[in-house]
Amino acid sequence: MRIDDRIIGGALALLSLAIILGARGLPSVPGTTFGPALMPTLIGIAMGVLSIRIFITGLLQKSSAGWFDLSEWKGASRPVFCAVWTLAGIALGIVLLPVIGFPLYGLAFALPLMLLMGARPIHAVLTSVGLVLVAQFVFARLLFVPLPAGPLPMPW
Amino acid sequence: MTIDAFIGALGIVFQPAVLIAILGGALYGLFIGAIPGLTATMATALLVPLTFYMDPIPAIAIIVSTTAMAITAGDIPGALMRIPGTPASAAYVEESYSMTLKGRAETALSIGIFFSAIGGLVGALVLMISGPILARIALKFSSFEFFWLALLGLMTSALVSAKDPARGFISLLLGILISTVGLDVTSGQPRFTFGSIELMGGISFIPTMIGMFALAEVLRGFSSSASFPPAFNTARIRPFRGMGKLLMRYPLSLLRGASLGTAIGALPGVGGDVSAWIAYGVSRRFSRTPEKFGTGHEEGLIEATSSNNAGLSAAWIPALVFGIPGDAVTAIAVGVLFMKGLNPGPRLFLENPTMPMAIIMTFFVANLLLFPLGWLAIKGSRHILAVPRNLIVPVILICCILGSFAINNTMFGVGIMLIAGIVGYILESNGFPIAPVILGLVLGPILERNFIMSMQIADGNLLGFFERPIAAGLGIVVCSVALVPLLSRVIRHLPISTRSEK
Repeated sequence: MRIDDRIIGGALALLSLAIILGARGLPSVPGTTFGPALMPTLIGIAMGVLSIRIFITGLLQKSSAGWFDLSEWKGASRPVFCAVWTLAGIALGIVLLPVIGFPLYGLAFALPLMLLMGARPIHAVLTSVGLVLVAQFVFARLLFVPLPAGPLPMPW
Repeated sequence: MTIDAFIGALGIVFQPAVLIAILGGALYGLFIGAIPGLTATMATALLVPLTFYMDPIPAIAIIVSTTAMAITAGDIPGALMRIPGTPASAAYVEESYSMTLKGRAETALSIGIFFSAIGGLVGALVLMISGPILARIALKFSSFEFFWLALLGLMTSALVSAKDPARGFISLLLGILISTVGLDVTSGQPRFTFGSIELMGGISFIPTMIGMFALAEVLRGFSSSASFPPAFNTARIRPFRGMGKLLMRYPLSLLRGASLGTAIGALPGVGGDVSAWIAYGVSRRFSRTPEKFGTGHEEGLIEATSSNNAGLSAAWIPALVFGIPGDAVTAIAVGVLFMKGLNPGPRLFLENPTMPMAIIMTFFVANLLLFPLGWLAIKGSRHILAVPRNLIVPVILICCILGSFAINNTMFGVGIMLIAGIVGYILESNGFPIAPVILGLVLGPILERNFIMSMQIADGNLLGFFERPIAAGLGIVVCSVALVPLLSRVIRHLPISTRSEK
């Protein structure tokens, strides 16, 4: 996804302004001149200068592809579904995983993605079930990571 | 170090209990390092309860061999799936993954393991010979020197990783900006936390790294601009093939990488992570073919990967000689040494020289073990590329989710990984390199802490940054790194007549 340099430069300039304003709101440390605001302010100034340079580069180039170039996502719809499933699946997992547990979430996320990507159903089912079992065992049992188990009974 | 201490140490290290500890640690490190998101530090921390039941030398030996193998094995997911195992691996993940995309995964993995092992052996040799001298020099470093050193690492990564330096520097600034989130390193004030308790702890580099490299790569893989690694030729896979030739072709890269790794790794508080980044940058700067960097070129990979393990060994110099840990791993190891009654410091070298010598020798054994275990790892890794993409991608994504979760055992890390993945995808699609973001995030606190401290010492006078001899030398190097490309660009753009008049 290519974005015109004028938009990137403008967005970065706005970010740098926000950083500088945010830094001004930070409390100073009594008895010293150099407090928590110094580094963010310097970052904001440097980013502001560089964003102007990128904006000017965009002005000089005047890309013919438009403000946003989404050509790499045009054509087949399956890749777009896969990307959307991936991002939405991870975002939903942030809320769902602690509730339904990793085994159920892992299956619900990985199996449809494998099928969406064109895997044969038998391969997808075997791989996703194996993946969930191995991952749960390695992380929860061997590495003591407290992965939520959820309602699905596990053999360990 | 006397001959008696050397012989005594040999007797200790070649006891079955120590050798079993080294082998067990190496296998465990291989396993942890090859799983994306799990770090050498995490592996070491998990070992601590086990060391309670071990004698001092096997306890330290298991830590040494685990970290050496985990750091090296971190290159495996980097080369095969573009998921760096450690921040140090992130320095050259583009190079090794590009090699894999060209069908040279075997070479990328072989370089990662072969030159890591040699770098580690060089680092161990230096640790044995000149450890105390290097540690004394490192102890003379004040905040000014650390500031310049951190800045050198950051600038090098920004300059070498993008065609347009402005984009490299924006990536770097984004990384440093992310590092400012949380409690301020000098005053403890909350900064850019927006009232979130989790943000007060800062943004960890592990989920950010996983998101920016792995999730972004998965997203790009779905688009039509994707390119995929070709499968291994399973019939004729020969690990370490051609390494001898590379050793003859790039001896200077190996030597320079190992030396840089040793020198930087020996600095307390900096550790080995920075050395790979600086080594990669230096390699590109002095290369006869800098245009090949980033396209799957061996030279930078050799230099960075050898500095990686050399830095790992050298991080033990301040830990052993003065009891000041160079990084998180040595901090844990120093704790174990104290627990075992072996208080690290100059007195340990004077009163019981056999013990530090035995610890140093475990480095040799651990790094030598990298050859056979690495050989097996390369042989085994061909199966990863043989798995169809429609099965391996969901497996990678589950590893990303679990690796990000395991940092703090909360879903906050998964959220960071998701956002980092989207941002990383957009940044890379528009020519902004990812590597400087990660280094900015790792080195940002070191840079800020030493900058603020130096400003307070110098009372805001920037000339104070050049008053100490080592600081002045490092400052001149940093200024040269920044100005030389700028001047060469100006000279290139001058009309020929103007140049000849001058």
